[in-house]
Amino acid sequence: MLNLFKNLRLYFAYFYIGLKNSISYKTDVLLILIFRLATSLIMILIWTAIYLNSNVQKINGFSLSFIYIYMFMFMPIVTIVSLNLYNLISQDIKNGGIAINMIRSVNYSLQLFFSSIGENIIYVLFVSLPLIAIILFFVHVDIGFISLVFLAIEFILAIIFFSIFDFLIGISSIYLVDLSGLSQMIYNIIYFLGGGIIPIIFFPTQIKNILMLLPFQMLGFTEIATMLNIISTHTILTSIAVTIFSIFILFIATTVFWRKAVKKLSSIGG
Amino acid sequence: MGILDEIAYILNRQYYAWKSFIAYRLSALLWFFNNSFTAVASYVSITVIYAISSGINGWSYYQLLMLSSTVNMITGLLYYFLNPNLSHELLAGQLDPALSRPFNKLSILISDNIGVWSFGSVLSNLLIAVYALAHLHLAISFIISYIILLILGTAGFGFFMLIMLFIAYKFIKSEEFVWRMIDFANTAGDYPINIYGNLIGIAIFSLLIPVGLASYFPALALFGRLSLNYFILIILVNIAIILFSYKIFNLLLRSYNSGGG
Repeated sequence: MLNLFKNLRLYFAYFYIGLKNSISYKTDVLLILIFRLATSLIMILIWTAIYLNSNVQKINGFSLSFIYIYMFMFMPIVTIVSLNLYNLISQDIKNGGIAINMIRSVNYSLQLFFSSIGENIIYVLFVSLPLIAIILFFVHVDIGFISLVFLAIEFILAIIFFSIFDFLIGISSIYLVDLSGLSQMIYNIIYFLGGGIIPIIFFPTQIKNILMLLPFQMLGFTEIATMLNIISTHTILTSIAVTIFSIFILFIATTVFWRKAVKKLSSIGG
Repeated sequence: MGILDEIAYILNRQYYAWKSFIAYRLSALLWFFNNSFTAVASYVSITVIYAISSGINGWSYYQLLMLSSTVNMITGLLYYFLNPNLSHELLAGQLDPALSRPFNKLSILISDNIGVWSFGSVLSNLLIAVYALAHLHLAISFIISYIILLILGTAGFGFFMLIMLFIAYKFIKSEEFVWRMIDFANTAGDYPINIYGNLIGIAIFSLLIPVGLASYFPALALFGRLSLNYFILIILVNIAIILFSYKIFNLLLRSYNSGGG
């Protein structure tokens, strides 16, 4: 931890490089943003068609307006908690930059972490936060102090969990060489399990209970449910405990895997 | 080079791609499992939707399952034939050895970096499609119409994505948005495109991003909801897209600068 503070200025440089990288691909960033928002819109139109055809006010106790809020909030939250670290690691491994980055006096995983925060900050500041604020303003959601504390904990845990998860996926490219398709597919799986297509509350009870015991609910569902006050404090605490436990397990697995992967890497590098 | 040489070249590349893929057994198994999940996700989503609601107006459970598996198969095929890193390779000038081969440039590009891993998605969604078909009891003529539109639509959509990758190379210098676009098209195409607006939805997903031509209209033909006039019109639109895209592809290919400058 002391090292982290000592090298904070260095890590800020990585953050700045990440930020400059994302700004230099303005059109790409803009188009990705458009497709992210358009995906939310598509999900809303699909659910509107389902509600209209069912001719009911509520499905499983939730109205169509809840779906609107849920779907518009999901993507901004995913953008905040998911840093896409695997892209940076995969590129580093492919172009050999990992060897140079690893001999530097700063921690490699933290280099990546700060760099990806820099790349993501544009999306967060200009899309996610304004969009969440606008939605909360229009739907008059009153978030209490306790909920705010829970939200802060959930966001921090989610960022930690998905960063370690991304790191694990990223270092697997040492074995798999090309990650481009795999990472997209894994993203789709997490998106589905995290309630991006169907909110977790709509699943049958048994499946819902299983999904709530997976850390992927932190991708967006738990945060939205906390903001809108639709889950109990007990459920929130269980979700937090599940995520902390998952971080612990994932951290050990990633450390072991990383040590093995580094050996393979050095055998490639000579 | 004749057409038979082109086919032999493409098949040859497939053979070596599969051989090198299978050489890493564990990796191959992981990729297959991972990609099969698209079928599972669609199946579960549609099953949950029909369990808690009346579903989509005018579409039965099995019909929607058929539509969804069709679009997922197409996406799987796109990942199979189109190299996800094409823009990146074009930017880095890494295609010189491939493009100097004495074959059609299109044959080279679709077999340069075959995404064997995405075959898991194609196969699992094919199984779902067969399962849905078995419950739909459709006339053979409808199935043939479906296959015709599916082949033409997939070719058109594939050409469209290829051009997008070249545009990404030429003007944007990054290809990530193209894969976001495929993802977006896949999500939208999972459901009937008329729910996004009878006119606007169909126009956007047929002409702007032609995923509907590859999935929605073949599905309509399969369920006997496409009149002969519309059937012919969709074929003509697909052919026009393919020819136009091929022309644009050749133009854009000229803009490629090799690694040597």
